[in-house]
Amino acid sequence: MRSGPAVRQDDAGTDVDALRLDAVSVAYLTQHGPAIAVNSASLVVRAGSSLGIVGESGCGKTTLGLALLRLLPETARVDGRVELVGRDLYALTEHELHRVRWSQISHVPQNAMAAFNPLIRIGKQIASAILLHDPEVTSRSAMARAAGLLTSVGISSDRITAYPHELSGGMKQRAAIALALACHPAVVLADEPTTALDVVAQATVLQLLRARVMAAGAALVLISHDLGVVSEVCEQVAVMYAGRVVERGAMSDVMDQPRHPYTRALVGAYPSLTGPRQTLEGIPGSPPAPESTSRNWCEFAPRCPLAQQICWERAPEDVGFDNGQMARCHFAAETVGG
Amino acid sequence: MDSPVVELSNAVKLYPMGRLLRNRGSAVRAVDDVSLQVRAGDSMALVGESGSGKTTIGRIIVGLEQLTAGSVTFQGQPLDRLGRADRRAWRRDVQMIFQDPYASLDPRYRIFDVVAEGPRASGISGRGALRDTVEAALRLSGLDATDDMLQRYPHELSGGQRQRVAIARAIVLRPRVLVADEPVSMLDISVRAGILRSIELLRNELSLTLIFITHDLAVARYVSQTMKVMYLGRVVESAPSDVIITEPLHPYTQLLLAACPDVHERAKPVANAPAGRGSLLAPSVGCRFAARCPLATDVCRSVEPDLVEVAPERFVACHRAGELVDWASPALAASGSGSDAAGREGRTGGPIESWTSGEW
Repeated sequence: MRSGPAVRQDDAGTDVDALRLDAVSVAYLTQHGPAIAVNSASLVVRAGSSLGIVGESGCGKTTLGLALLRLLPETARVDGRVELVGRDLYALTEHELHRVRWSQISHVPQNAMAAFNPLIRIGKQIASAILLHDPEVTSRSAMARAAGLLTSVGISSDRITAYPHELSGGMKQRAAIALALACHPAVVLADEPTTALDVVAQATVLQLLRARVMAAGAALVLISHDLGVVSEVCEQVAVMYAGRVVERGAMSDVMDQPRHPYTRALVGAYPSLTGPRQTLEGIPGSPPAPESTSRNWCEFAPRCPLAQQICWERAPEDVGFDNGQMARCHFAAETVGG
Repeated sequence: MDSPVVELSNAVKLYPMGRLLRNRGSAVRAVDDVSLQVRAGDSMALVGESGSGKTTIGRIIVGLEQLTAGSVTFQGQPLDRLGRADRRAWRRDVQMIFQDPYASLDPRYRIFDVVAEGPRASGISGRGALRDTVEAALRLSGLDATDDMLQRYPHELSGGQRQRVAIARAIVLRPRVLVADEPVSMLDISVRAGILRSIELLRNELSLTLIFITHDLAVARYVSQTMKVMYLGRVVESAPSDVIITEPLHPYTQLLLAACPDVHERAKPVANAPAGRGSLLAPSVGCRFAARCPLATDVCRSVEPDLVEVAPERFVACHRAGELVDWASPALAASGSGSDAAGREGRTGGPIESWTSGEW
């Protein structure tokens, strides 16, 4: 039995990234042909670090999340490579996949009610996940571990016999975090884990999510439409627009000096809580509809204040910077401070 | 000083819970003794979590809810005693925008008819006059008033466009007061900024008095001059918005501020607060925030604090007003996790469910 990983290592003993995406594309097959939801996304998340994936509705962030869980419907075609602790996720057999889910990658859903069976007490549900993935554990010690997990997320152990509906929204979400950590996963994926919560509960759950995942030595992937939420939790950020990762890098670098005009516009669209009052600028227009083939122009050009002829003629490439930041813009290197 | 356009005096709104045996005879105290004055030209934000009563107050002001006790007046006259003509004037002058632009527009009405309904009812007739009125309202709300747009149905529009139609419908009769209930919380952030900007411009253009209901303090501060923070049916703090943001006096306001994520200030410590209990059912004894408040003393648990003016334009209902709580302190979280931190956090389960269990 593992007692919780710090850093995962492969057979050769070298460090392995918890999660590595190499040019991952997802297309949904529709009546009108394929619709590309995610286009060539490349990301790396190391054990013990946290990545936020931010974007507005329709940008492909949830599809990307499902691709990481290999939970996409049959009508979706996945290209590229998803590597989970060094193994190609899409090369696994169904049986292997079954072993990998929850013991290597787990999920905190948006609506925790959906994560729990309403007819089974929460303690038992967490214990059954442990038993399923570790046949050597006795049911008694699985229950003890479940109680410990619940305590670690601030739910007193006498609530182990509660049914899901007996918990408040915030408690359910915390119980879902406990469930996600039950089998010592290498990666915890949380898709909009706090959108259903009030502000105060949101802050508490986010803090807890980060603290517990980090304490478990796992990597956290947090998907959210809210840059504010992601900026308070994650060290790394990837900004998605129209299926593309248009900017990524360390959170502080990206926030202090966004290189992509979309990221800049996104930051500028948030009113400041305590800073000087500034006129808010929305982003005119709306994102393009998914296409059947890759565009040969920049997907942000129709809404971009900096768009030039070249943006309409050629798709931009990833422009890298010394600090590890990347932006997919023809003018990424020129718009510094803009 | 001008007399207030809208005034609530000791307003109480109870929702009886008689259908459930366990709670027969009890009631949810959604709004509990709230007094407030809205003057012409004000922009006032009502902020608080779900269950604080902020939406109910908005609905009372536009007449969608009747008070259980207390009074609400429009231009000095109690709403329930308005004559026929005054009643029409009030209906025209006080308008509302709702949170969900997918639910607030009739799916069978074309955009023209959505916006034209009010003018028609108020006697504007004639194709040309009606059309001019509708087009002007749509343009003011930031939409192109093309034939194509006028003939569309709501489902053919994006969320942001729908909310603009809802705004056009609200302002088409040039009201004096606009109640906006979480008008941007369902919209994508890039759209949200545009809508907030539009509301701001309209306020200036039409000299609107704005009552803006939101849980988001950053948004509240952006749109408002004064802010009222509500907690479990009461106003706990009221002050000019910039003052309340920089110098919150009530521990609950401090908690909300600590919990509000800020893209522009990432160094800000984040609330780590224990969730406590509070009930909207029982007439409470003492301060209703006491259960969650680290500063609470015996006085707080036995005597309900009144909303008092502690400085010009600054009101607070707290026995320990002005003392600072470090909501980011890990010690607080620890103290909360030991006890049953049920908290009034439930939105997913539905507030009624939480109320009936007597626990938030």
